[in-house]
This record gives sequence, structure tokens and C-alpha cells, in this order.
Amino acid sequence: MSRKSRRFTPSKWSEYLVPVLLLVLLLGLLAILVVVVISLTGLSSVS
Amino acid sequence: MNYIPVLSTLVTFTFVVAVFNRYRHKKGLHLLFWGLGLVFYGLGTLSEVVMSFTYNTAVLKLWYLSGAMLTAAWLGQGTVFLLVRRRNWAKALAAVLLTMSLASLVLVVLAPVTEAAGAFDPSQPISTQYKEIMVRNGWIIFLTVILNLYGTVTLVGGALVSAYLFWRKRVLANRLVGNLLIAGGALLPAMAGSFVQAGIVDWLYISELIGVILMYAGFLQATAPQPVKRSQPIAATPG
Repeated sequence: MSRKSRRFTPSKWSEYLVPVLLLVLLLGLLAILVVVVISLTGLSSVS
Repeated sequence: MNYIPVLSTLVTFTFVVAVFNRYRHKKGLHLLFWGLGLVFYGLGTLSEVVMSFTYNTAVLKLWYLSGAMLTAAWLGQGTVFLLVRRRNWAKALAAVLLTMSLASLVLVVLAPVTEAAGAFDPSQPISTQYKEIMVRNGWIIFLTVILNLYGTVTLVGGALVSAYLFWRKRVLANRLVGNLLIAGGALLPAMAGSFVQAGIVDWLYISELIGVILMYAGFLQATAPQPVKRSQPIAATPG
């Protein structure tokens, strides 16, 4: 399959949805890391 | 008995078969590590099923070792093998992971169990009772945190980076969607500990189930063969 045939054109709604999803998932990842760091510093218990 | 871990176990081992099937045909260490990580995931949920009937120290330790310590890190190592171009780096990280996993195995096997084991209530999730039963020394807690941090960052972070790159280049929509699903699916079990601490224990089981369903859907989506447009020349097959 050529590189050109693998390309896609995002629809109107996905132009907004995909960046929002990426941001939400990134924030979720950061939130987990913050929770772990807080646990490590002793402010909360480690799971 | 809680039926959600039963469903999670069934979905997980179906997923394991799909990943190892692909490994058999395509090879690639990323598939091997993903498959092994999913085996740990399945052993964790299977332990929850067994412990919903009766208490068993070996099963409790298997649950902690596989579900709480190894799953995320081994899945993440699969992503490292997929994304890190320098093979030696990926292999060095795998060697460190293997060493830490063996150390975890020894430490968990040797961990003492308290008298609270006698008061184990099978109707309640293990996650709400294990701390009183299994004595975790500093090394076990340290390894649990490090392995989960490594696994979560590499698995979720790797899927997000891949999704972003496919989006930016506007190529392979199926892999974009697949990686978004994998990132979302991997985040849910990672958040499970927070759910338990918040007292929402049912969410632990639900997050495990939804998590593995999303990751499986993401895997299927990302590895689905793409239709070839007749007007386009065939240069390569999807990976």
C-alpha cells in the first residue's frame, strides 16, 4: 500500500474530537503520576 | 461471587491468544512482551475470581505479584520494543525489568502473612483486604511503585505519542484510533488504586474489565488489514 493510500482526511467533528481526546488522556496520565508522587512524599498512602 | 472479574479473565485470555497468534506469524519482541503482560493481567483477574470463593495465600500473592506489580511494566516494555529505535536500549531496559521482576517474585513469595488472613471475607474484593494480610516491606512497595510508573508512562505515553504522530501526519486512521483506545484502556486499571482509596471498590473491577476491552479493541483496530485502493500501487503491507 502506498503512503498516499494510507492518508486520511479527518471529518469536521474529528478535527476537534481527536485533539480533545489526546489532551484528556494526557491529563489522565499526568494525574496518575501526580497521585504516585504525592503518595511517595508521604502525603497519602501508597496503594 | 462477583462476575466482573470472570468476564475480565475471559476477555483477557482471548486477547492473549490474539496477541500470541500475531507473534507466531509476525514475530517481534513487542508482541511477546505484550502477550506476557496480558498473561499477568489475566492471572490477576483470575486470582480475584478464586479469592471470591475462598482465601488462599498463594493466590493472594499471585494476585499481588501479577496484577499489582508486573502487568503494567511488561505491557509497557512491549511498547518500548515497538517504539525505541535503539535495540540495545530496549534490551537493556528489558534486562532491568526481568531482574526487578525476579526480585519481586522472591520478595512476594517470602512476604509474611498476618493473622488477618483468618478473617478474610470472600464477598469483599482482595484490594480492600490485602494490606492487612500481606506484609509488604519497603522493597516491595518501592518495586510496586517503580514498576507501575515505568509501565504506565511507557504504555500510555507510547500510545499517546503514536496517536499524535498518526494524527499529525494524517496517516493510518485505524492506528490512530487503535492507539487512543489502548491509551484509554491502559489508564483505567492504572486509576484503579485511586478508586479503591476513594472507597469506590466496584470501580476497580469495572475499570479492569473496561480497560482490557478497550485495549483489545485498540489492538484489533490497529492491526486490522487496510483495504487497498485499486487505483494506488501496492508498495508495502501494513505491519
